Amino acid sequence: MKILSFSHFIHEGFESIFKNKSMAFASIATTTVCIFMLGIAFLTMENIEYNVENIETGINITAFLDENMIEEEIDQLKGIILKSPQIESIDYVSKDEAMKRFIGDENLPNDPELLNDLKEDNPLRASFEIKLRNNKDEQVVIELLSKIKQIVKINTPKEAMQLLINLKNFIQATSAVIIIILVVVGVILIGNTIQLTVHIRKNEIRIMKYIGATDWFVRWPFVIEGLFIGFLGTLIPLITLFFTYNFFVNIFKQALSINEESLISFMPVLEIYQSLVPAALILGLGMGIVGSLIIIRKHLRV
Amino acid sequence: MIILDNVTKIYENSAVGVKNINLKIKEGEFVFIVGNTGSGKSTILRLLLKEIEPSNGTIIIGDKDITKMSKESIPYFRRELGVVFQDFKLFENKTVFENVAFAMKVIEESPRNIRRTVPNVLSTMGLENKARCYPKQLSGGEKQRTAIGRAILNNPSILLADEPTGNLDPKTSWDIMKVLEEINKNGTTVIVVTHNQEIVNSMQKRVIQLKDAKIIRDVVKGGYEE
Ligand SMILES: Nc1ncnc2c1ncn2[C@@H]1O[C@H](COP(=O)(O)OP(=O)(O)O)[C@@H](O)[C@H]1O
Ligand SMILES: [Mg+2]
Repeated sequence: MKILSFSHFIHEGFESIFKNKSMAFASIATTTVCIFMLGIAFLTMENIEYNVENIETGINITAFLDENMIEEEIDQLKGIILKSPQIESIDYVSKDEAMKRFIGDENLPNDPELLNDLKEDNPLRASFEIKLRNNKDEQVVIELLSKIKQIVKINTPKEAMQLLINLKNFIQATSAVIIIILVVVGVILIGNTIQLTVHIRKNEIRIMKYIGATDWFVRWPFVIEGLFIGFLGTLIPLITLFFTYNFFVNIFKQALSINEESLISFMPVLEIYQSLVPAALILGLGMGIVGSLIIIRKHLRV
Repeated sequence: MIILDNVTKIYENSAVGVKNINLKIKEGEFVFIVGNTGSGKSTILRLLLKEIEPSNGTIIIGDKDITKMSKESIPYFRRELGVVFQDFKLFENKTVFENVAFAMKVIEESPRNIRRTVPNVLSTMGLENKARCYPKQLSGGEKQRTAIGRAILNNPSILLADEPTGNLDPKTSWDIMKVLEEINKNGTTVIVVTHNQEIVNSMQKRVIQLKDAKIIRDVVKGGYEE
């Protein structure tokens, strides 16, 4: 394609948009809605995944120790366990510390007598809080720990984790389905808009073909029209989401009473946009191109 | 040279377009195709344009068997033909200049070439003062001149005209026919489908008469009917 023809195609494509303003507006609006939904799904997914990852990496295996162990034995055991390559670190939580944590829990009934009793006859066990290098090794480490006599009980976050992972997968699958449906709807709607343009210009296409225009010569203006529609329909929701993201994050934080120390945190919008912008552009422009090509195909057989 | 060798066209609804047509047209000839409505005149032109495919037979134009031509080469083949229609088929949203120039845009000529060539063709067609007009501002004769200008812009070796005077008054029809004759004198093969008996009778060119999808008469110099 020559540069000269390219300027011709741009001119024709834009002329057609301005001649059919209302239809162009309708398809831009459709694309905007699609990409907007994609954006919301994307922002939600990214934040969920981000938090799941945070929680995943923050999780420990707790191994409770035999009551009769003395300090040296405990140190010795800690040293032995630390030798296995899957383990990153071990925190020793003594009986006293465990009690302190327990009493520190705000949710406990504030009954001083009961607390005093508990302190005198501490029912809690000392434990190791074991942090893994990689969560995948969980099973291996549990097997290893269960072979050690002095360890009487192992607590793993397995069930809670599995729940989170399931939730993540579920949301991922649901948004994938929703996005696919939206894309199909979007392509059909853009196709319809361009079909109207094509219909209005059916005679022109015929004439062009009589004069000896190649299929691509006929197609380009429509592709550019579709691209422009897709581009605007991507730009509008991206800009809107960009400036409203923090507003919605704050609403969420208030609603869920999330503060700085909370486990849950939100990704900065710029970070999400690094992957959202290319994804949305590919989708929006792709919808525009596919919509225009599908429709024009059947009109080229002259 | 145009050769139709035993060409038959049956449409999808099994209507017979043309049947067993044998025809030779030499370079530089001027040919009228006449006949009743539905006798197959347009079908012949559409076969020559490769807008439709024959059900049977071969069509040779120049040295090419166009029935064996690939889909990709059709546009390039059509650039060697010019075609005009009864309804002019102009771009309504383009000026006379742009309509004519479009034929050069399609073949990706440079704007410089376009600016140099189009005014010449417009003046040949007597449209110098109409260059900036839109089709709806033109008379029927001017519209057809614009269409012819577009058709001959790239110097086609063959010009096909399907009832070019069908929508024009007798005087304008004569003007247009004179224009076509002029183009023919410059070496272009011209094939005109028409119902205009007076013109055919007085011009005394080759006349091919169709009836019920078949050629029933082919005379070198003749009138509309025997
Ligand atoms: N696209 C088509 N589909 C089906 N039948 C057609 C089509 N075009 C023409 N025909 C039929 O073929 C015959 C010849 O038509 P045509 O070549 O247009 O005649 P003419 O131009 O002489 O009036 C007619 O019977 C017509 O109905
Ligand atoms: Mg006809």
